[in-house]
Amino acid sequence: MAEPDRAPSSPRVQPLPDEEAVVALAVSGDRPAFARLMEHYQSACYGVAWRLLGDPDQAADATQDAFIHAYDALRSYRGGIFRSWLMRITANASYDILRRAQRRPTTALPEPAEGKAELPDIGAVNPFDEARKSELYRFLEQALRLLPEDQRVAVVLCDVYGMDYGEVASMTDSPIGTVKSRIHRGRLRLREILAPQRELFER
Amino acid sequence: MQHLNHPEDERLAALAASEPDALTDSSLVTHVAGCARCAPMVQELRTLHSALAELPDIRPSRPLRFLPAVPERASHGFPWLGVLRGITAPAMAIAVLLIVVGAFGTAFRNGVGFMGSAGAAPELNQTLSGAQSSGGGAATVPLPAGKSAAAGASAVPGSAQFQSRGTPGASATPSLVPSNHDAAAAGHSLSAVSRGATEVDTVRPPYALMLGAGVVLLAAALVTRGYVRRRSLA
Repeated sequence: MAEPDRAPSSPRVQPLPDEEAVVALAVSGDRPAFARLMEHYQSACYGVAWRLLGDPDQAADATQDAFIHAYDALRSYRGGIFRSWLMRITANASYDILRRAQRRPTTALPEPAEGKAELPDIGAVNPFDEARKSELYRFLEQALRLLPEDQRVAVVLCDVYGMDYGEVASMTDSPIGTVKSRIHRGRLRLREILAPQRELFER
Repeated sequence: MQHLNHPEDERLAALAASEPDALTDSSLVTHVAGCARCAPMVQELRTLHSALAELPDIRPSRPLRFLPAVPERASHGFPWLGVLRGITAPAMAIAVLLIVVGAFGTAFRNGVGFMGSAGAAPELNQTLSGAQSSGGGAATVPLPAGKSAAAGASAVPGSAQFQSRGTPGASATPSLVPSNHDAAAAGHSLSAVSRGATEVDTVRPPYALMLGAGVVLLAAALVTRGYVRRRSLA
């Protein structure tokens, strides 16, 4: 049986080559070191926030809040995977904004499917294939937003950002078994949602 | 819908995710390999997993600040830094004021002929005015009530003598041009006034002390300010 194309333990955002040293500098109060870390992870943090919130402005707010919280909490950082630590702060900041938005039902719902995704490469070999991929990504993003919150965050962290189950469990303060179950149910639900667009998955 | 003969969907999802316990479940693997319903489902889940992993990165909708403002960091964990920063500016202002006053006071006290007029203490000016008035001027020149008048009378011993030897009637109509006798008396009194001025000198503001204190305070404020700035940037 073939292995999946990408194992959950191979994240799309790789740590900095000298991340341990940079983190140590940041913890000791070195502001440029902290800024370097935030610059490296800003896209991942923003991506998580955007996929949890579904709104570019709210995602930017959540990411900005996460950076500030991370800066304040840096002295209490006790090692571990810095990316997970930062992502957890980002997810919590996103939840805070989500809860505030839910307490204000008059807030306009976010427009679906209009993210700031990178455009396909103009010099791509097959424009038709690129167009198909863009369409596929658009439907995937829409489908992600239809998942329940717990499944969405688990699927986003594990499948989109390549975190392993233990990392997601640590981030969400949930048992690994629960995380696995959420991910499996989330994937099954995505498959159901995307059933009408099945032809987009055929290569 | 779950068929009785098919494994649970979550088991299929676990197999699609290549979880070890699913991969080692021979009955599951065997079933999927020969099932027209489950095999495509597992394949679709794998394709879905791959597609999720390929989702493009998303750029922030606006530039983000990676660092909070410096003052927030400066006070974080070190609240006394904020207090120090707050007092350095007024301390520097006071220091500069002390230095200016002290420097001018010290310079003008040593100046020639200056202290005899504008630079002298008010008491001395009043005493001089009284002494230079002919014929009992010390008694007739109006002095401000209270300490100034008392100081003018007591600090200048010659003024009482001058008053007692004044020409009769001078107390009522002081002469603008004193006689020789009066001039000698006035000269005597002026020398006495000079002695009085020396005594008054001792109660003037300590300009040198002010100057020194200002320099020390300014240096301390500058050092503190530099320290706070370094800690804030750290």
